[in-house]
Amino acid sequence: MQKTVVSDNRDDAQIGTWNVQVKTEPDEELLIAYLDGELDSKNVRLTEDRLSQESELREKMTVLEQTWNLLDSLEIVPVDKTLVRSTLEVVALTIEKELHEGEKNFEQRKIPDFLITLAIVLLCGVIGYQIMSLYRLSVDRQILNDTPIIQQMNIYKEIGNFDFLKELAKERVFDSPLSDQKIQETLETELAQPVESDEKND
Amino acid sequence: MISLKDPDVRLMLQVREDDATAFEELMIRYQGRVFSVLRHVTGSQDLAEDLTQDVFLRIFRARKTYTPGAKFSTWLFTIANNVAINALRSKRRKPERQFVFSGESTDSMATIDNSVPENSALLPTRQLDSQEIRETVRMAIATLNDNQRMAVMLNKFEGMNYADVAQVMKLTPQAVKSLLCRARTNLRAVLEPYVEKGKKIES
Repeated sequence: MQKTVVSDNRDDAQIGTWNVQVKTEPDEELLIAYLDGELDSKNVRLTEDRLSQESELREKMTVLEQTWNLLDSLEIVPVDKTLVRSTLEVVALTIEKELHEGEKNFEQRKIPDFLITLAIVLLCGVIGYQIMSLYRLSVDRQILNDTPIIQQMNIYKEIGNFDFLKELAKERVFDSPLSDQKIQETLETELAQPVESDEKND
Repeated sequence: MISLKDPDVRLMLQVREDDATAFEELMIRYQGRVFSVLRHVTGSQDLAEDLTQDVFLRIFRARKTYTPGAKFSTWLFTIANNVAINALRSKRRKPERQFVFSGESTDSMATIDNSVPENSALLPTRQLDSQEIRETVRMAIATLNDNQRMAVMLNKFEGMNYADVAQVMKLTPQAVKSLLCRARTNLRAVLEPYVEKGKKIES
């Protein structure tokens, strides 16, 4: 049996040996949209006017409506009652899997976290050691620089006058290594001099 | 927000908070509808059951990213449509005979070449019983392409308007209008000879 209706429609249906090439007419599109309640009020009015006047259009609509209604004859196949349960079981498995993966990821992340913490601690230790080393070096240098002063601290204390110490430094009294005794002598001499000059002034 | 008035959206929001009871409730409400659409789109009961399960699993997996936008059913059938498209694609990659539904043995395959002459031979002489009408309607649906079939199922059995079907199928409403028009014209071409007989059965 061969039944052919020529059409340019790309969505033609193939029914076994029937070659059904159905042409979609503008009227059919209009009628289907009308039946589906997808027309605006203006087009509804226009369609209804045409339907009241054109018997051919009415027949077309009736056939379209009847063939569409034939689809209601399809029985409703009840879904397998165990489907909900089996789906919920799969969902439970999915949750379990998700949790397991979550734990696994957490454990996998633990190692890098531990390494990162260790690295930070080590880095802090190295930086701290360096800072302390620099500090100690600067203290040592300071002590080294101050050694000559420290060595003669007793004499400086004995002099007690800072301006006078400056005077003595100008005279290069502290430049050469002198014995305590010699410095003492020098100091006595120096101390004696202003007194003499004062006397002279008097 | 309009979608929050949808009780199913509220249920889905509970599912987002890992409420298993809400998920079960959604499954009970929708699994039959999803299964029915997928059964007609794929033509296989077993495959439709697997896909229905897949749809709900996808929904559950996507629960944390769910944001209430459109109606819940629109979102659900969008997922169902994607699942069906993927399944039909992979099914097509495997060499397989063209199929139509057959009565109780839901997974059995029969070529249209065989079934049509058999049915057409019945046409002029006697009334069709409801089972035969059903077979013919199934066969007519099987002749539609995947998109047409999905659009018909959503429009006819889910009562979706063109805008909703368009959203589910990621098309424009105008494209859905044309798609449904072609589908219904094709259905009319196949089913028109049976209309009178169907009337007799009903009467």
